[in-house]
Amino acid sequence: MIRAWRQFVAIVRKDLVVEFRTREILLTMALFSMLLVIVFAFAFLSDPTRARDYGPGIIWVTVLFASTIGQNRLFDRERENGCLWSLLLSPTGAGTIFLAKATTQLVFTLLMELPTLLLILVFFDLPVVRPGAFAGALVLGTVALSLVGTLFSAMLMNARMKEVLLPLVTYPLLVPVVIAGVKVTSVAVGAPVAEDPGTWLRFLLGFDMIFAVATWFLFGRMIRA
Amino acid sequence: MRVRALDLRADRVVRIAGRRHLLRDVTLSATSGELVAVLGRNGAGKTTLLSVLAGRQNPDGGRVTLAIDGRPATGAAARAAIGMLPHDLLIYPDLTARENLAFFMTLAGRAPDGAFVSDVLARIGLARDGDRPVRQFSRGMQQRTALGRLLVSGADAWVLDEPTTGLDESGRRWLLALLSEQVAAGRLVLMSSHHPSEVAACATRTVVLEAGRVVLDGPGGADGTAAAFARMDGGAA
Repeated sequence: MIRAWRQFVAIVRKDLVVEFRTREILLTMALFSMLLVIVFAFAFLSDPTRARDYGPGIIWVTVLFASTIGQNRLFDRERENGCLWSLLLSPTGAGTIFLAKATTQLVFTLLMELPTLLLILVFFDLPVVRPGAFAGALVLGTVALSLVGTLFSAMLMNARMKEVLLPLVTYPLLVPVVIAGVKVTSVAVGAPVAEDPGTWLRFLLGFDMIFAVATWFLFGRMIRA
Repeated sequence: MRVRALDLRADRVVRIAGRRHLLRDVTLSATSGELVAVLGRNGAGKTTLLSVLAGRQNPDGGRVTLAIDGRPATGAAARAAIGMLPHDLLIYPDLTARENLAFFMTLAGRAPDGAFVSDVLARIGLARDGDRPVRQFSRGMQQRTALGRLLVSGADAWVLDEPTTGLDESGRRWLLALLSEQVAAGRLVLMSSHHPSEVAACATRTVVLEAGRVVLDGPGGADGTAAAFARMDGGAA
């Protein structure tokens, strides 16, 4: 168990060190998300009174699109020099590799979300009246995006049209996550909706738990094949 | 760290790519303390055989088995016992040599040990360059880093695909001395090579592949190497 923990930490640390040295993924994700926010701002700012209605949707679409950029690049560094084989030929378990890569993707996405959300809240003048629900939806939703994205990113690593295929495969699976995220965020920003955020948060938690087990299991089968 | 006794066997191994047989009924066994040179012309199946023995490729027929200290080993135990150095070096170009070695030491299930990593860097001749990103290294220095990966992993068997690639003459001599030292310490080394002088210098056994079949399994040394290369030349004629 200690050995697996050390291997997990080593892989996450390696990915973070390489990222902070090259700044390829984070910078691209952050710039893309900010660009999206600006486009949305021009599209919707003509009617600022309805910001609470469309703000949650803008938040989740931005997070979904920007996280896809990170997912597309997540295994690129393992391809150079055949490094994925250094992981697979080591005694490190496939489950440990998966959890480490998903954690890296989670950290990248959360780091991207911080400035993006700040920008959205300021641009659209959105108040966060229920910060707990807001943070809970973002964290649970981002975990779901990271789990599903990591699995399919690995699966499509060598696919010729990976950039196109990844969203085609993951978005249908992630639609419920986005819907739940929008529902909770709507309540969190004080939109006039009759939703119980607790139900949607429990849904997100359940989604994360089911997909954590399913993706962990599938990754082990798929990656060695 | 004690080197464990390994017995690595390939039993009627077949490997197919499309319609082409890369390996045909290859039967081979190798044990600790041997340095087996896998020889053959380009496309004979050397890389495929080494990849199958190291677990990088699965055989399409037959099987590969590993015993450690007389007990069958599979999964993580087998992967921990065998270290591979293929053509693609399996090292991270954006990490320094020191970071790479520390990382692979942890992946191999060993506790990180900075002093040991420094010792290995000195052994592979990169003591002064250990804190530079591998991307800035020459091919030979990258090859040394990749060999360092095997040293920190503590693997009981090394599978090396043309390991002198990119090394200068002194680097070749250093590597051959390192391999002889590892074999003397009880490690099993399997390596492919196209250079008779390298094979004669360190191999205890020679295996010649021709169109995916083992056509010669003989001794190493100067005479054995000469016979193996003569067999290859005969096959070419």
